[in-house]
Amino acid sequence: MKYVLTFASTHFAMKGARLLKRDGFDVLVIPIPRKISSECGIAVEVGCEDEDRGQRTEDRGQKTIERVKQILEKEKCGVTGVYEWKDKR
Amino acid sequence: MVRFKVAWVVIFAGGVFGLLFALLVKYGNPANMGVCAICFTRDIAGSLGLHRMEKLSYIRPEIIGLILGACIAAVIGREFKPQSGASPILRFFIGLFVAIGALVFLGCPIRMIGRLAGGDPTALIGLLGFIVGIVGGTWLLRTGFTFGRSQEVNKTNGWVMPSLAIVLLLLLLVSPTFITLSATGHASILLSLSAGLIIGVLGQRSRLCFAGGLRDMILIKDSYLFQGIAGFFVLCLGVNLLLGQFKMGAHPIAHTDHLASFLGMIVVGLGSVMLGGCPFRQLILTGQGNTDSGMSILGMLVGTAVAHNFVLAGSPAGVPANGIIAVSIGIVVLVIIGLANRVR
Repeated sequence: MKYVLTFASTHFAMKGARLLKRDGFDVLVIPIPRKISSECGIAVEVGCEDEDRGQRTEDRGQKTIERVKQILEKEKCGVTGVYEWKDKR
Repeated sequence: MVRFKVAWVVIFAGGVFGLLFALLVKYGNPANMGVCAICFTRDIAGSLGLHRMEKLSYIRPEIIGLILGACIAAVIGREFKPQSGASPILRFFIGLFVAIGALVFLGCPIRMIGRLAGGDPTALIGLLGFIVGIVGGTWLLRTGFTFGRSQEVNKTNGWVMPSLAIVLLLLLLVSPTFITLSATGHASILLSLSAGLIIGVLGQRSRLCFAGGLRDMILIKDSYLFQGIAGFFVLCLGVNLLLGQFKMGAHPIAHTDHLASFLGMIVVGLGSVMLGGCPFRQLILTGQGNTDSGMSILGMLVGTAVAHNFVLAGSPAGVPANGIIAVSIGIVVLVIIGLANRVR
């Protein structure tokens, strides 16, 4: 399972991606998917963490996103949306 | 390594735009100027009496169509979400300088690609300047540039610019005496309006952006939006070849003042990245209710008038010294705004 995060600005998206990468997350900076927003800015795709493989995918996803939110809120990265993401784009 | 996955939606949008660009030239619009977001805004400014160049005065239905097409697509797609508040006054002045830069070069990014697809090699210098501007803009983004967060606002805000587009259409159809409609090169109203509507719908659905395409290639190594530019170029070139409109080495409604072209398009590239999209994209965002983009468009409208009233704009005869001074000032002003609006 993957998540797509949208931000208040391109700068915050870049900063968010940098912080998450530093903390070991599987991160990809992408154009905001058309299904999420009509803006042409950028978003960050975050993969589910691999630890606790025994858990259900949904539980691992929930755990990942809580950690992600914690990190980004602490650094005031201005997350505007978190979306579960199955498509490539 | 740039990520590449074929994105048919944006290729289709860019391709149809390139096709219509060439057809509009065939049916009456000026050479290599099927659509130009800035030149056509300049013509509207003249028509409303904001500058005194009578030959450059006409209410261009393409601009009306772009805004209304994007508006219709956004309403149907439930994406009409009026937003405002991300430094509107700064956007106004950036829009103003972007318009001056484009009129010194003689074309917005759409026309720049259209000129290349028509065989005009002088546009290459403009492209180089545009890329330099975008590289500068992405550097600003990387180092913290932001205009802050826009807020959702009452829906009436979002309807202002589409309503103005409808007023412009009525003025064009009624042609009252206080409106100047004297530009010679234009296709029929029906064709121009239809083309604008189609491009507006496709632009809104695909997110096509001429600055965003290069910005994403540089900033995040993603080719999605760039594929739209490629689609535009290939179709426009193909149709120009078929219709005999491709004339290698000719540069109609353009000049050979390469320094001015280079500097002018640096302003356009840098300003477009700061605004979050090229002039075409600002028109589309305006149509879907973004009033920050509306302020950028109003800045561009005033900028086109300033460019002609203060004798800054280029012409086939060349570029006045004032024009080169103005775009140099524009670069300095944009860099100062960029540096002053960085957060950590």
